[in-house]
Amino acid sequence: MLFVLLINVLIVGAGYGLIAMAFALMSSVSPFFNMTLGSIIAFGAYGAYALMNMLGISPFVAIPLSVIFCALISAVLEYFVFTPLRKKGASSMVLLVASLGLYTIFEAIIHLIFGPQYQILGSVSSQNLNFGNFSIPKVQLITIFVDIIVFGFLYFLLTHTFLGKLVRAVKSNAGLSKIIGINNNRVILIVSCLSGIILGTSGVLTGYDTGMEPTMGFNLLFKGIIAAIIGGTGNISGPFLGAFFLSFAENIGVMIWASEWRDLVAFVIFIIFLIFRPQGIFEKKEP
Amino acid sequence: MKRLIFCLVCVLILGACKEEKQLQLQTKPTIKIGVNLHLTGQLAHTGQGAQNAILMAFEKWQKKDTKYHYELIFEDDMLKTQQAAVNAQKLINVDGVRAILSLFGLIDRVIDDIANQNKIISISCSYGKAKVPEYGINTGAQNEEIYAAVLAQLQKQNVKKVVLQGSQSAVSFAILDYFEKHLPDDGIEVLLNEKHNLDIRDFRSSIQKAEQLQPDYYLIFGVEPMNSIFVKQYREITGKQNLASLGSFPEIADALWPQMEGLWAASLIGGTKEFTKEYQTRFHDRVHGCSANLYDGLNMLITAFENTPLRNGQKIPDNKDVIQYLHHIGTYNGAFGTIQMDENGIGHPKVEIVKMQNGKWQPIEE
Repeated sequence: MLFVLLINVLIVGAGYGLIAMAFALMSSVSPFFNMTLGSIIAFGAYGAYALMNMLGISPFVAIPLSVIFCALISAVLEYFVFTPLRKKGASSMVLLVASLGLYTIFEAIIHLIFGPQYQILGSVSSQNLNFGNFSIPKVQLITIFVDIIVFGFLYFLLTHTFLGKLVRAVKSNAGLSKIIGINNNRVILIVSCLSGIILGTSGVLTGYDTGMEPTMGFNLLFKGIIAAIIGGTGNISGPFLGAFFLSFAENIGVMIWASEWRDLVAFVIFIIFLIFRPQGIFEKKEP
Repeated sequence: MKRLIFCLVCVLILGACKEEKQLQLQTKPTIKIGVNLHLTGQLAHTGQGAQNAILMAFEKWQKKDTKYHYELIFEDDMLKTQQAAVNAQKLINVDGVRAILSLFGLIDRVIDDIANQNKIISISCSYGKAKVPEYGINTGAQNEEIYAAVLAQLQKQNVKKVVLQGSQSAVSFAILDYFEKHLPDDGIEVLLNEKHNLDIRDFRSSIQKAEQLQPDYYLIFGVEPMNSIFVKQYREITGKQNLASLGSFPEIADALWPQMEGLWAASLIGGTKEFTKEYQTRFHDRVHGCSANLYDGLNMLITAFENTPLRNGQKIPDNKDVIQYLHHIGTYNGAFGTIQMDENGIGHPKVEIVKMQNGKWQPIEE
């Protein structure tokens, strides 16, 4: 039973983790609740669906194309919407409202093109790998694997590369980084491309595993944000581990009480962290 | 030159004919019908399916020579009861509709109440709604009928212990709680009755919790995407086939149908072969819950308006007379099959059991 619970925690946590890491990465350089990140998840799933099911393109071509499309959309939004707003001195609240408006538009566009009904990508998800009398679908193993790879990649990028230094500089003090000659907007643009890739990948994996509908992005993003806040957005380990913590709490809630308390458990933890430890589990309190 | 004059004369004649038809339409009294559906939000697929079906029925009426000119006014409630109340007030007080069609999800009850206060006819499709106000009718299936059909299957398979799984929605509560209350009387133990939040995408822990109780069967009634994801994860985890739906399986995404071979369901969703074929050819989509019921609902309503006799000086029949006609419609053969309407306005559609066989939902042969 415990083994099964741990497997569930890993599967769900890996899904949350990708979104949490993308959110943490993005909010480190552009600190506001960017709701369009939810749209990017849906674009990833529906992009792959359109290419594979409507145009008959092979998944090996369709999935990378869809992920690249997500990176492009993310960059275009940053370049044409959020950067100009930031230049005009827009507050975080204005940016949040703008992103919420865009999210609503994107959801309506997906709804118009693909219809409101639930869809699922391909049939890969139905292929299971058996471990004795326990089986796990391939797509869920891939999700866990991708989550770990993305974590490793982001950890290396942020701690061992020049781009990582730039990101940390912008995050630490955007004004000062500008004074020393860092092009903040370019750093934000690169980061939005990266988060677009991660979110697009997450969308494709979700499309294979639990399917898609136009409203899918919002709920997934919300869980990702909670995971990022629980873990702490200061370094990339926070959202990665926070996602598993959230998944563990939710699954324990389902096992002990009932499924309807799942969201309650998540939100109670979220509120507790916001009040008592807003910096998250894995980040030290600022002096 | 002669050709030009001939063409001009043709155009003039066609124009005159069109004007005459418009004049005819203008001379006919207009009856406005409001349609309140969830066109956006979590259950938009159901609302859009119903909208498609209603438009399909309406277009057929438009081609007929009717006594009255009918007009449809659609409103979106976004699956929110407050919005449904606003829509109902607008449809009644601003648009002046004579009847409102609506879907399940507590929304139908809000519409029923407001419509009844204003003596407006309310036609709903709600599963397990056994009571409607004076001016209402319900075309959805009743708990008793769903229960009887499902119980017969469970007894045939000698099922003794079941787990109930559904969504946090009014329709799920109505049906699952009815089953929880009545199954023990028929010798079947209910081990668990769990309703999941609408946005949940992970049922693995729930399934494994239920598996610890060793049920003979799972009965589910959820709203999409719960059904699809639940079935998929259930099959992935257990590989078993002891899962049946109390009504909503045929709505599940086609891509998952290969995983559903051998599963059965009470067929609350769908319609007759003819209706399903026509709908799918036209909209390239599967038929959703209540689409056929509201297709029938509109047809019943217009038939009632057309056939209700006028009292002295009336241009349009009184709603009281129309609802009387509807309450006495008796057996109605429509898109959902045969619906037996009782004199309280409650529809009793025939609930049959369908099984996924060779990639298709087919009635189980008794």
